[in-house]
Amino acid sequence: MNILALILLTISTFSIEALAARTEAEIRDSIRGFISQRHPGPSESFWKELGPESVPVIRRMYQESSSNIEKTFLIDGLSRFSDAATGDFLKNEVETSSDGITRKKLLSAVIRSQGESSFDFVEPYLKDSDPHVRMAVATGLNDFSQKEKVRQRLERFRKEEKKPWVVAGMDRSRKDSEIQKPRRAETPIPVGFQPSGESNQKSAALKPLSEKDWAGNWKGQLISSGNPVAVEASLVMVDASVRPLTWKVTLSLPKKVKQEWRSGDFTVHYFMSNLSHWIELRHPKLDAVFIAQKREAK
Amino acid sequence: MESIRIVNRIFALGLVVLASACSVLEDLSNTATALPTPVPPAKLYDGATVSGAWTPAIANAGTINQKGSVTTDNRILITRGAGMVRFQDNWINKEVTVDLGDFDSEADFGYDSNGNGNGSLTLSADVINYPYTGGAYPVLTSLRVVNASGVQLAEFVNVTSSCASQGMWTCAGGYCDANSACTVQSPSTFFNRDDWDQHQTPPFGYSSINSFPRCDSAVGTPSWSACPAGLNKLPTGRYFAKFVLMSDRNLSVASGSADLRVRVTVKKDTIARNDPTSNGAINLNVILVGNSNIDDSHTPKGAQNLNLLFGEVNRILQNTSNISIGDVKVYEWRDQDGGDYYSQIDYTQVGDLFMSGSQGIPLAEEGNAVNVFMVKDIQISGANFTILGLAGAILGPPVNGSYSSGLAFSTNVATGGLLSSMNPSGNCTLSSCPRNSQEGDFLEMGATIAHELGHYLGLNHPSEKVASSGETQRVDQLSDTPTCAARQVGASMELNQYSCFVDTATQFGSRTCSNACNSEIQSTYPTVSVNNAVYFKTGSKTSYYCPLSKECQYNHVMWYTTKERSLVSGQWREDGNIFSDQSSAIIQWSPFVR
Repeated sequence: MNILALILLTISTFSIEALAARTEAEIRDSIRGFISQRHPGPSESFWKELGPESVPVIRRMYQESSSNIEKTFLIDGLSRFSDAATGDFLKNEVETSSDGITRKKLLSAVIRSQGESSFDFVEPYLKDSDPHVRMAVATGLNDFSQKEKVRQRLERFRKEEKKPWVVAGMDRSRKDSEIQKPRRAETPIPVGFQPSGESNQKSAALKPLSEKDWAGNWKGQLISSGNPVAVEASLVMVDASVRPLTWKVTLSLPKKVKQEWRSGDFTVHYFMSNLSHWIELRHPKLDAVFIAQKREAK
Repeated sequence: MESIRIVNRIFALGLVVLASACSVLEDLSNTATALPTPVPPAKLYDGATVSGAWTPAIANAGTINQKGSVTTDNRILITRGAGMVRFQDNWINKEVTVDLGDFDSEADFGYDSNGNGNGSLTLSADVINYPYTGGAYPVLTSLRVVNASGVQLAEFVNVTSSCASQGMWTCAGGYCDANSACTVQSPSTFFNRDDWDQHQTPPFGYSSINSFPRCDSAVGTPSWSACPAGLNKLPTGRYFAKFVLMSDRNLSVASGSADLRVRVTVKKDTIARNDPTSNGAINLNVILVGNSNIDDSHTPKGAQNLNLLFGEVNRILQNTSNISIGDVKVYEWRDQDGGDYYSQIDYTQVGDLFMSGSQGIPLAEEGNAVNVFMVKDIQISGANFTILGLAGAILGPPVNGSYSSGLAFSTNVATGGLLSSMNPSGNCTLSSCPRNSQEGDFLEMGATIAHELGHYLGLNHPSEKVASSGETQRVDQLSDTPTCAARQVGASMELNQYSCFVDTATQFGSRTCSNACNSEIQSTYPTVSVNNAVYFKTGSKTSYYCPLSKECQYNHVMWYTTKERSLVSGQWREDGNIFSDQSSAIIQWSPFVR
């Protein structure tokens, strides 16, 4: 071997080693870069692009890390790969994790990684003492509810679960076909608009009151010169034949004191929040305002 | 259409009603049809009345930091029976004009005859009595000021005529893209379509939040042409706002109507901005969500960590903005009152958290303090990772009960994810816990709160990440926050301190981030080369610490990523947390800064 060949071999060997070393370093740098985003968006494509050769690196980083938040990212990364070794790793971590949040994330990761074959492993956690763990497992299994075994178990879960919000949470990802939303580039906050989900249905469920339905019992605060006072009031329509309608109101003040505001002395304004009906009565002569929510009949 | 004007000087008092109205809400929430997520109504307990609750003792914070020159006034204006459009519809004859009333530049906003002062006008708008599933955004299309003769003195928005004639978006298949012909035009206080749109359609819920002025050439010249003379302050005159109620429905809304509610916050401040003694203080409502966080806060260690956490926030704020934390009120939201549901949330629920939780704040406090919700964990749908924190909007509303009314932070971050177990170092005792003995992840929690607070007060990231190399880089509008280009690394675009270091754009004369940092620290640390860029090696990590150089925008509080830290010889080496001068000037307009 001449000296040139020796040099070439040395360079070549060095390069291969450097490349290999750089590959792990690059993977780690990439992951750290992703984790360091203050407002990271959807992660699936990021992890998939790293490729299966990143899985051992992710596992090593997980084992080395003492940072709670870093570990949650690495769990997310592992969940994107479906090999058996990853599944076993995640299951082992589930069994050794002591806190509910980590257990919840690991169980979701097992389901995402191993699909419906994870059922037997995760099913017992539908009885976990932590409601967020139960919701995470139920929500994950929901994706496989076309399978009879899963469907039956979830049906039983829905009947047995004591926390109503856990069951409601399972259906949160439902889409609403009536809604459209703006599409835009990366936003500073990792959200799209919020056209689906609870808030839509709240406003759909609570209909605005027609004017005649303002009559009834209202509960709120009377604000005048002193401190605001909690007051219940009965609003009664005086004359339905004129517009705007005329009203009188009887206010039940503390110590069983009653105060009546006569028609014409006060104005009535109605508005609605997403959760409730509101009314505002203003009495200029008394310099008083009564703001209240509708008290529904039992 | 009927317009009702309610000039409500005492409405801040009146809003107390919300806190006591929870029993009414309960009646509604107990019916599954009323609330598909049947969570008990929010009931918050004032920490001052709870035995063992955290009593804030935050270093250098308190009401003493307040300027004493600020007053705020609130008005509610309701327009009933307004017509609506969809994203893609034209809005000819659909704009709703709201008469905001007469304002005097000096008496109402505190400006002197030279235009010095710090007053502002904030419009928090939402659509009520919306008749369909979904919601509608109240899009501000004009803010016009006229004098007594009806002559226009200023138009702060100034959108192109194509918006009305063609619509704001083009929609297909359930998604809508911006109509490029619909944008803002000079003179406008909005930089571009993005900047305008950001305040009309915030990420959570359907409120719009707009605050004026938005730029001031006297403090520093923002780079956009949208700070023309006259628009850097609020003139004396009659103010008219126009809104379009924009429904997210894809079926026709032509026959529907709804009500527009505009909550007007008028801030008067007679002290000019960037005062050398103090720029004022921000009050906070810290809401501990769920029994775990609450119980932790009742322990001596938990209370100490909360004091340290907000002490770090205060340190960052004071460091370069000269703004402090003022009064801090504590509220507890226990499991049985919905705290368990909201203690671990998906980001799609964050709007509900803000809306529901802020209704539990006494309404006498509304607009006086920024709501800071401390939950256990926030994560994104379909992913497992924890998000450090979120702001309800970039420019959050000074009102409660909206989907944007607050900030939310995860406590599942530092050691054990428990407030009572963080900072376990032996040097960190209950009597003393020096900053160098605090955990890096814990300090990052403080930096995150300062960062999200910056969003809530109106600041953007200096640069945004882009999805592909061909995409236009989105930046803030401030000329003293350098632009840093995202770089292709492997298959993805990345925006981190490394990408800044190779950026050769000059700032503050001829200095770039690279040469400024070179002179700052190159004698201290050896260098290494990664991805064709030179970094300084500190401890076991390849990092780049240059905390004093404003040229390096990753030193900005609002920078896109978290900070790099390494403990070297018992001392934290870390990137900076700097507010640029213009950033500091922008946030001083906020009605929360007083």
